[in-house]
Amino acid sequence: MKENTKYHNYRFVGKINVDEIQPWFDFATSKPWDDPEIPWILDNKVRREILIILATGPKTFQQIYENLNFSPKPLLITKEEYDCQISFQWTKETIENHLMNLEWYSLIKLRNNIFELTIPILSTEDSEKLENYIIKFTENWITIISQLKIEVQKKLVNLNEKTHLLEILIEKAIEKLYILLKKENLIPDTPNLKVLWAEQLRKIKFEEWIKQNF
Amino acid sequence: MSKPEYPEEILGSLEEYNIDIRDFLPGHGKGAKLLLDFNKISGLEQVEGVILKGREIENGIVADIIIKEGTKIEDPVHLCFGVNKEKGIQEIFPRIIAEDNTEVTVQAHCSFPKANGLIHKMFGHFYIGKNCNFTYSETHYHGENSGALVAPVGYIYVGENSIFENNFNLTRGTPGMVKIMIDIYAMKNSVIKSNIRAFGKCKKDSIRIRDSVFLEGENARSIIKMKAAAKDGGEVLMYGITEGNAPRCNGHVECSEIVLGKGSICRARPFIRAIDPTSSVSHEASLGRFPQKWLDELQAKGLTEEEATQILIEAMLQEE
Amino acid sequence: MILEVKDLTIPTLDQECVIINKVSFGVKERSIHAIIGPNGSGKSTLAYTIMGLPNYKPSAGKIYFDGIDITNLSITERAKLGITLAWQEPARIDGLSIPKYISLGIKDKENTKDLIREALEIVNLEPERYMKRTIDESLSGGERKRVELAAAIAMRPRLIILDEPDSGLDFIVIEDFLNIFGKIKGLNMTILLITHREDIGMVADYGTLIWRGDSLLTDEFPKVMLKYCAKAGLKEFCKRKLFNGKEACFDEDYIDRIFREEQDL
Repeated sequence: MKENTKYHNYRFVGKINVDEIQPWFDFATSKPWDDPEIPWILDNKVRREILIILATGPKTFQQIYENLNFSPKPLLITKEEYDCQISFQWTKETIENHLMNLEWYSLIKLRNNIFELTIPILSTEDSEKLENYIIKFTENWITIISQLKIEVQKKLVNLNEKTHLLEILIEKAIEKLYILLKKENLIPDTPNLKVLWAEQLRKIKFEEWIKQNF
Repeated sequence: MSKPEYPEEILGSLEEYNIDIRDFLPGHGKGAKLLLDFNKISGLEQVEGVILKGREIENGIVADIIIKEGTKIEDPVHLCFGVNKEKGIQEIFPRIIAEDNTEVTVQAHCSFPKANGLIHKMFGHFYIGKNCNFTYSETHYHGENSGALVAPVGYIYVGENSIFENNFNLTRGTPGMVKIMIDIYAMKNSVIKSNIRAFGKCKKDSIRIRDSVFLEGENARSIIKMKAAAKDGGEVLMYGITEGNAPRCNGHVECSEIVLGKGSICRARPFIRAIDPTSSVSHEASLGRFPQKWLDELQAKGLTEEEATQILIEAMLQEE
Repeated sequence: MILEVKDLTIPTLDQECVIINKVSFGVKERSIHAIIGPNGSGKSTLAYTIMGLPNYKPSAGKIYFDGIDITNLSITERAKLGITLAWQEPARIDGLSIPKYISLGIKDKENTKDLIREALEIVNLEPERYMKRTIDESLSGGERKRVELAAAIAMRPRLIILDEPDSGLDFIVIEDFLNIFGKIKGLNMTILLITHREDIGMVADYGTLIWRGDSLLTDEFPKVMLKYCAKAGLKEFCKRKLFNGKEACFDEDYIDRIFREEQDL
């Protein structure tokens, strides 16, 4: 339809590309796909404190309530000079709200009136032990990579001039590593979020959901 | 207390904020004082009802400031953390405890007039008891070179029926790189007022502020007001978070930011979460330029657009 | 004439329609000159164009202030020449104090405080109370308008454009405002008064009638008012309210004649 009015200036002119519709909703988990895995829930120190309390073992509500209070302690002034009397105690309604939040994000679960963690929380000691092994892994990798680097540069000299070849190589090796580790049952067979882009992941989950339901 | 030799330049920057510098000098006026000249305690004065203790550590100080139960102080407690050098690291660990039924104003001033590679970090804890009235005002001056890196972090617990007011001012001089994080936990019937003002004046200025209020007690109320301006390539990012975790609590976040000049960036992200179904939290944000009408009004009095904008920024960033 | 408008045509922003069509009139120095007309006739548009606001550019015609062609001057340049505008709905700006706001246009910086106090007194606001306040939401509509006037007065301009100063005010306050206009005139300033209310306009010495974008008459105010009523067909209102009793400037026969002429047109 031809038109000669001023509105013609506002009409869209150009090629229209209709891409396949990406579901914003993650069918596998029934949640928005772009929600970060552990979101704002940990902004609040009270919720962090609840997780720390549960890290020592499953607890009843009453036990959480009794352990959840903050009292200040001066850094320099000794108890002989001054004894602090104030403390901050949370009410049951507020703690219930926090627990509900943590449950909703699957960080804790309630079973037979007992709350327990669903994620590992490491103590400083365990975290340090883990750190030692991270260092061991990476030191071994550095040895391998430095040995292979020269060989790679010789074999792929053309590419090497134009690209950040080593970085790409290492990224791809890590992707492959995850696949092989899963094959060997050294790690569980779940999607590696670091490797897959969000779109890819959604697409995979959507296809799986289709397979299951249709 | 012997006559201190406190650097003039540090105290001089206070005048930018219309603060009487003599109030900060030991031996002058009333009120408890703690003065830091880089990493040396250069002045410490006690008053009745306040315990003030500081200790120098490798790169800064640790300080305890305790206001004893029932104390009502008229004169502000003055804290001055100044550095008169270009480079260096200053780390401050204050622990402020206000016991039940106290009234006090703490006025802190951080001045780095020659900063050019200077790092200032603060990790403070505030514990305010029941039925208190506590005001904490912090003004910053980071010189004119955008050469400071400043990262204050504060955890503040406000007890039942108390009023806590927090004022943070970074409007004079050039801020440099600033990252501020304040977490306030408000117990039953408490009232929180948080006013933050910042002005990023050039490409080297980046101000990121996260001000969170967690309403943890029944009927707790809060208002966070964040006002900022960014010009000539400066960047300001404000996160204003309010969570209503307890019954019948009420919180509001207000962000106003003005952007001037190419490359300047202002971003405001108010996050409001009503966790308890009887809580009520709200936010308003306005970013961009001043309404044209405001500029026209001032220009009709003979001001140029730049002058009018400057007046409006000053009004917006004015202390209330 | 301190202000002369010649064949001014002002279109809408998209240039599709004409709001003011070849309007011409002159304003005598130290007079109160009212621009009257019904709602939507283009009075405020004319005022904003004379002030030089960014979105109000004439497509034809000229504006002269004191003999100088100001048609293409910016709002700031016009203000510096001695023109200012008091808004119909002045802005509320948190943090801007009343004294600061009033002082913005003052050229004589040495006497700022005195000029501010005097301006507040002229508009019947107690200086002691209002010097400590800001022009924010805490001011009532009437207070804000008075502060706006005070700011215009303190500037000591040669021409003040008052855009519907009566809007949003009750009748008691309006009486007060009429007195203020008299005081402003006493300071040797010229007032260009935009209004659609006859009782406000009656303080004017002269007037221009704008009717659907056209200027129909520029003359002594009572004659312009009479023409307005004739155009609007308000004969009884005219006789009863405006030109009755001891302040009558025209007798009934004259009024009847003007109305007849208008009907014949």
